[in-house]
Amino acid sequence: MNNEKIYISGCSVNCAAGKGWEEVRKALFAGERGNHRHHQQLNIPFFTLQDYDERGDVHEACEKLCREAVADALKNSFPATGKIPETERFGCIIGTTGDVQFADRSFYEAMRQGTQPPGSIRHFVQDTVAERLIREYDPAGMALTISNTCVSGADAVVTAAHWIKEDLCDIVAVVGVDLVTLMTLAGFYTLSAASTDLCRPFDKNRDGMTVGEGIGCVILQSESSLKRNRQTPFFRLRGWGSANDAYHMTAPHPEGIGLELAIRRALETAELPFSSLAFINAHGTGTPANDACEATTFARLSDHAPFLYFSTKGLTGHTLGASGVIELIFTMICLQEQKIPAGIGCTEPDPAFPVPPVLQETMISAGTAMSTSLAFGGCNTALIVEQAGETCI
Amino acid sequence: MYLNKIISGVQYSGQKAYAEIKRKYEIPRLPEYFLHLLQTADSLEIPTEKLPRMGILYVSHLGPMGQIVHFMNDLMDYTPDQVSPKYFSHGVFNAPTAYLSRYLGCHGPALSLCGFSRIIESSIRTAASWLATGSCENILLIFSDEDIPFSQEISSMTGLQRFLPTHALWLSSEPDDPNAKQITADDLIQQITVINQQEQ
Repeated sequence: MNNEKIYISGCSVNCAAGKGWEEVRKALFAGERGNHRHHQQLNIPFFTLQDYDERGDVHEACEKLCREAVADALKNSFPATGKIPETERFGCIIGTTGDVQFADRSFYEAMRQGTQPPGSIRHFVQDTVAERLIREYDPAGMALTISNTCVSGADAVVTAAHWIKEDLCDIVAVVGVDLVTLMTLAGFYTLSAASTDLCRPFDKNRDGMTVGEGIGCVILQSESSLKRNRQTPFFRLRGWGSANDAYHMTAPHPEGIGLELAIRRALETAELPFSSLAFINAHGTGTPANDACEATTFARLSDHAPFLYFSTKGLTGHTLGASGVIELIFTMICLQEQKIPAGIGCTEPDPAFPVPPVLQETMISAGTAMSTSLAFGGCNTALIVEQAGETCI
Repeated sequence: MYLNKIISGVQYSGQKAYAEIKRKYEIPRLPEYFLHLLQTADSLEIPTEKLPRMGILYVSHLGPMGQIVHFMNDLMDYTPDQVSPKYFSHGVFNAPTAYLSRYLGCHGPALSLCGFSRIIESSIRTAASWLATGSCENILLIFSDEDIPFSQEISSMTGLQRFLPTHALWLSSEPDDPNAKQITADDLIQQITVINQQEQ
């Protein structure tokens, strides 16, 4: 293992709040909900990208988004060429919930009727999107798809960090992506996890999540790679940690033992105390269990020192596998702006919480923050990011 | 990296064997595929004291396909509000990993990895990086696809070779078993690739 610092040299984002850093930055502080609509039959709302109505096959749409996102992020990292220098070893990791499940309804219908199913299955089993992308960018590179439900994107960031630390890659494109399908809407509905209104993270009257969709891509790069290519670091990935509750398939541990472990591991790798964090961009889905778990765990770790936390899911919905990367980008935006938004949807915090979330736009003065993600299966991941504040030239 | 134990080409054991696993772990009910994976992991006889910090990597082409098929059938046969919640929660790709973590009591990192052409190399190198970076000291690495008629039908339809047979490995950063042998990621990738070819 090397002692390389890991930087984020570029990124791209597309979600219900908008497309691109600038559009999303404005939406983050505008105090309004992102693009959303209502599923009449299930009577639940959901957040969408702008092109929702023009979308065809969801797997094809997902692949197209991934290609664009990686290309756009690389243009940030390498503005002159948009390409990875030949000297650098490249990897691609995609975190997703839906794109690993072959959920093509027309395929299943054709199979049941005994007719020739569409060719979608052949495309699906040839390779994953990550494997196709790596063949195009760097055939000798590494590719992986992580599917850990709602921490998929965050775990993709952690895995990329490990690859760089273990000297397997110099640059890794990390994508978190998920698109809304009837499968996810019906699934969360039938679990009674989806609210019939837009979600209200940390609110005392919260009653469920709202499904969303989106894609985020960050380019992780080693310090020595940045120096070789005379690049200016954007942000530094300072710490990371993952842990499992070993408790329940869909509910978080009520005392947040997995979340606490993940946060402690992230603080250990960052070599920082909890008190140094400017804020926590919480998972904050709007379900009673998740929000209670996070609020109480943060308070326990704070050891009575003041801290700030909020959720952005009132703006975008829960983008599932994409959320870890999208919300890491939101965290970076807040650090750059030196302010955090009021959590949309929270008007009256749950009085059971030891510390309430941020209710109005708040200035900050520190350069390091944390983003947390929790998921089905008891998965918990925490990421710590800080402003780079230096150049490599 | 040390390879403490490996079990290859594990077949479905049947209801009697699963009854014993259910008794041992006090499981009222689980899909058969998940019991298959738990029994495979249990067969490695990893010492109990290693489990709480153990990391888990589940590697599969299609994941818990049986549950996904059930869910899709629900969607086609009923209105969307009538689908079964258990097929949804059991059909997510990391459901097998979740139950392994729960019943083995593992609080380390747990990842579910999907892929086709690169999955063996990428998963083994990821496991090695966990050990090298100190994310955990022991890893349960399981390769598996659910062997059901649907998977076989897809295999014949697409010409894709038979899906991943079930192999389970106990890896560690220090030798934790008397028979542990030191192994590089390259050698382990080669070993698993050969085993896969022999089993398929």
